[in-house]
Amino acid sequence: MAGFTSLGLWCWSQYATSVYPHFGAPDAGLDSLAWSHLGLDHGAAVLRREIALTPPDAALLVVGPGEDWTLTEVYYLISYLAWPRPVWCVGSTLPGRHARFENPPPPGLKASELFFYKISPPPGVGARSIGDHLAVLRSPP
Amino acid sequence: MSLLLRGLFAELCVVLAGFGVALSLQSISRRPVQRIELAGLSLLLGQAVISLVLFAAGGVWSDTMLIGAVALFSGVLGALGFVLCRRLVFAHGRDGWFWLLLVALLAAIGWQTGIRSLSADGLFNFEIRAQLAALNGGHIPTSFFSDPSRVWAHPRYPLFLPLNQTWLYLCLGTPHQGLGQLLAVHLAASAFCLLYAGVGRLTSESWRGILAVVLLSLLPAAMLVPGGATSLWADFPLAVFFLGAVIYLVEFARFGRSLPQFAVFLALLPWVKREGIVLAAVLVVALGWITVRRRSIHLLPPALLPLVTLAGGWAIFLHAVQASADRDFLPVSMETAAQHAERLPLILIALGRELVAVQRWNLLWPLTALAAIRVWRDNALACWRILPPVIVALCALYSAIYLFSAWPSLALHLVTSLPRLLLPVAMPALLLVAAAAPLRKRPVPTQGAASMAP
Repeated sequence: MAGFTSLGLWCWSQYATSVYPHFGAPDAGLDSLAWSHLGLDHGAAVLRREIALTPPDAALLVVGPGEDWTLTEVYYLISYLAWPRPVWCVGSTLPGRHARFENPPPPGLKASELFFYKISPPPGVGARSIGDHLAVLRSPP
Repeated sequence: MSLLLRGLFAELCVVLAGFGVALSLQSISRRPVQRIELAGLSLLLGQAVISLVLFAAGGVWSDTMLIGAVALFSGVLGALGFVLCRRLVFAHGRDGWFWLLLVALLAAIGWQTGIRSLSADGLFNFEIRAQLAALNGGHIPTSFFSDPSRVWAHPRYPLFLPLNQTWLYLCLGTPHQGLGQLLAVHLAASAFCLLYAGVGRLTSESWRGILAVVLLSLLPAAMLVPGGATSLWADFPLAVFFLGAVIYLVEFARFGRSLPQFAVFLALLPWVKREGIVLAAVLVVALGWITVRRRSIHLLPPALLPLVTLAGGWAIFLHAVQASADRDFLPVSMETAAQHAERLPLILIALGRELVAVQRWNLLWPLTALAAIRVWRDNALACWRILPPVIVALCALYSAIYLFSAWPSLALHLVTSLPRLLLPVAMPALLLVAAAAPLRKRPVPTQGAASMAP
């Protein structure tokens, strides 16, 4: 029992911090993810504004590295904010390999907006950067 | 009206609804009511009632009408509780130390919850539903469940946690992830109350209740790591409901009472998280065993009726909205199990390593093994003998689940989910350790415990 108590208190001490709790942010979770993966401040609001430019029935596509697990969180984040728009995800890999993280669209889907995560968009197509690792391309050719 | 008052209104409705249901159950059980148990039941069953009423009424009303209907229903249940209060006998106890400990623990949990944000499952499997429901007048759009582009959000996951967040958002007038995290404190309070009251009642030693609460608070997997109370995923709420079910199962095994409470907690397990059906299945077998031993098998069907009703209703709903199938697991069959039998060594190694991971489980599992040995040797602890088989059966079943994993990487699936699957299993383990801890001479049991042994 003494060992249990000591170990338990040690575990709590690992989480002890001088940071004060903050319950005031309506988008706390989304903002935290947008900051850690995209370097975006108030990321939920920034992405909402960007997505709001597309019609509610427009399909969106997120493209990123298929071996990078953070692609899933960025994809989920965009999909969360884009409701009711369908959002799909394609993971890029080396030829002959399957992406570990993706949710590919049905064949023939035409996306109204493309998000490039940690991948450079093709040059000359007019994509804009949002944050550190995200670029967006509206009405792709 | 400020956000604080709106939040307090939401909480008041939850507690009133739970108060009415808890006292109704107590009145059937015909035993003295413990105030701390009543507090725990009110907090937890209130959330269950609110989520179910919101689910049912959300299809009929929306926005202010929905809030009014739910609040009225809660008020009626609360009034029923106050009427029943006058007819019931309350047990007297000296619980000052518990209240002090509770305040300190809830302050620590509130602090820890506030310095981290919702993430991963908490955000993308549960809170997303609450956000959609709150922005849609109080119910989740049915197209969400069949949307093939959002299969990752696990459309078949039940709605206990999201609808409680929805209720708060509706009352606040807007989704608010920061304030929504305070539900973690609510759930932790109910867990500590149920644990203290349950262990104290079953052992006739309130200090063992304190011990159980301390053990739970020092279990990192239950408090601090993802899936614990402070992360506000569905794993901790599931563990709390399982804790309640196990306490009332042991009480039924020992004293032949509290079966209605057990039946309610059993029914709610699959409403909190899908794995709840596995927990419920094991408890049904345990209850069957106990009823056979007690020659009261006729009590089994009515005890299972709420479970069948709730689980069946949810299955019908999912069928009606054409919910997308989950991609995490292959269809369960003997053929699939045989095909993947070579996975067993990896699964067993992962389970073994998890059970000795002190950074998550402290010394719980080794202590559980020692407690199980003591329980088997000591007839005064006979009523607890049902718990070691429950723990072993759950570990075996949860391990077997991975034979059907559809993830490309089984190792990744194990690492990300096995620790959280074990959280509910830790609850009977905590009970065992608290009941069997050889820290003081055990008094003579008040009723024939040995004869009630399963």
